Amino acid sequence: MQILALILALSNGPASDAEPASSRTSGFETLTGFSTVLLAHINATLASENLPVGMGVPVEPGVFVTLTRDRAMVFDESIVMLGKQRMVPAPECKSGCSSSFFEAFQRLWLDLAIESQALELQLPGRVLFAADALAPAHVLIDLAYAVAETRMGQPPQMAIVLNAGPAGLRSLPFFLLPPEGLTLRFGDRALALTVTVEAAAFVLRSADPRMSRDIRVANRSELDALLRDVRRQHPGKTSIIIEAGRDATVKDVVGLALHVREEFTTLVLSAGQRVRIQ
Amino acid sequence: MKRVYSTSVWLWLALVCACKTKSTPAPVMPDEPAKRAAVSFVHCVEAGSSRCIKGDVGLGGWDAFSLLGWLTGGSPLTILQAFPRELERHTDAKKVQAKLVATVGRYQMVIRGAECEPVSSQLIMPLLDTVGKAAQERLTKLGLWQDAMAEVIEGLHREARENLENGHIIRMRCRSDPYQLYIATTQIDERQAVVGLTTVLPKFLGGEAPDRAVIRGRLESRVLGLANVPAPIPDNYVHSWVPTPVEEF
Repeated sequence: MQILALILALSNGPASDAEPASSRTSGFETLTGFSTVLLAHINATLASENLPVGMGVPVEPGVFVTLTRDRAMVFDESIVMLGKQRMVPAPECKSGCSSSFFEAFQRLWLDLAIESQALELQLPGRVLFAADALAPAHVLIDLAYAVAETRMGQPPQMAIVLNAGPAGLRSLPFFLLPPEGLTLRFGDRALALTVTVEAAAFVLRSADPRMSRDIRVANRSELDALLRDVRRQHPGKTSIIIEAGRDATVKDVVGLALHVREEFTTLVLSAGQRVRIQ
Repeated sequence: MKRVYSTSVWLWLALVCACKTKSTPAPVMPDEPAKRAAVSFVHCVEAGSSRCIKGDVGLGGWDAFSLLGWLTGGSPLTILQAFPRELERHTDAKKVQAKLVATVGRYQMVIRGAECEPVSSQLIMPLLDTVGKAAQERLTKLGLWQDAMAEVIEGLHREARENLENGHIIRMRCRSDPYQLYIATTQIDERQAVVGLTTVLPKFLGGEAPDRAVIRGRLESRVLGLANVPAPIPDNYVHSWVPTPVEEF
C-alpha cells in the first residue's frame, strides 16, 4: 500500500517515525476547513453578498442546505427546481411540507445514516440553511420542517447562514414549533409571543389576555413600541415565534429576528403552527 | 407399420438431441463465476459463518474503489471529518479486513431471510476511470482539491486497478431490508473471490436509486438503528422541538 506516503503529502510536511499516526493526517483538516468549503459552495451557487446580512454567532460544521431563487440543494446537489415542480404537501409530513422536500430529505438522512454507520460516526445533528435573502421565507421554513421531520429521533439543531461582511460567515440559530403545534398548560404561564411578517405589516399575538386579539402594525417602529411594552410586562420572556406571510422574504424574517435578538434571544420559526394554552 | 416407424424416428431424434445436449454444454457466461461466488458468499453470511471473508484476496483494491466512490457522493461534512482517518486505515490490511467484517456483521441478521438473488453484474475495471475522474471533479467543486490530493486519487486508482483484475460487481435484489446488495469480486488465480459488500452504489456506477418504499423501509431498519424516539427533554422545557425553559417562552 503506497497510500501512507500520500497521506503524508496531504499533511503539513513529512512526519517523523516517532510521531503518532493520528497526528500525521491532521494537516488535511487545517488546510481546508468546513467554513472554506461552505464559502466556496455559497459563492458558486448564490454568492455570499446575496445572503441575509448580520452578525449572529459563529458557524459550526453541519449539513448545508442551500435555497436560491430557483432551486433547493443539499450540499452540492440540486434536489428540487423551484417553479418547475408542483409543490404538493407530503401526506406523511405533519407540518404540510412539500413532498419533493420530504422525499429528498428522507433520502438524505438515509444516506447520512449509512455513511455515518460505515465510518463509525454520529449522525450529523446540525443543519445550516444558506438562503438567498430575497427568496420566499415560507419556502425556507418549509425546507426546515422537511429536514426536521425526516430525521429519525430528535430534530437537528438548525441555523440560517449570515453574511457578516469582513467577519465572514456567521449564523442565526433557530428552532421550529412542533409540526402539530404546541399545547401548554395554563399553569406554565407561557407568553408564546408571535409575530407574523407580511409584505407591509407585522401582526402580533400572544397568550397575554391583554393581547387576546391580533394586533396589526404597519411598520418596524410601531412593532418596536409594542415589543418594548411586552418586555416591560414580561421581562423573563426571551423567546419569539416568527411566522412568514406569503410575501415575506428571508431578509424580512432574518432582519426582524436580528433586530429583536438582544431582547428575544430564542428564535422559533413557524409555518402557521399554533400554541394552545389550556 | 408406418406408425411404428414414425415413433422410432422420433425416439431416435430425441436420443440424438439428448446426446448432443450432453456432449456440448452451454457456454459459461463470463460473469457466472463471479455470480456464483457472490451467491455462495451470501449463503455463507446467512449461515452465520465467520469465515466468509478471506484476508488474502487483496481487499485493499475494493477499499480503494469504495473510498473513490465515497468522494464522489459522500457528505462533504463527513469527508472533511473522516477522510484522513480512512486513508490511514486503508494502509493497514488488517483494518481493511476488519472494516469489511464489521459491514458483513451488521447486515448478517437482515440478509438472512431477505432472499437476495443476483439480478445483474458489471465488470469493475471500466468503472475505475469514471470514478477517479468523478472524485477529482467533486473535490474541485467542493474546494477540497489540492496538489497532494491528485496523488491520493491516483494512488487509490492504481491500487484498485492492480487488485480488481476481472472483478465484478454483482447486484442482488432482496425482498426486504437491505433490498439491494452489491457484492464485489476479484479474480484470484482461476477463481472469483468476494472482496466487498455495499448496500448503496451511485447511479453513475451502475447502482439503482432506492424508491420511496425502500427508503422508508431502510429508515426503519434494525441495521441502521434509527429509532424514532425523541431524546428525553427536561420537564421544565417547552418541547423536544423547542428545547428551551418554559418560563422563558
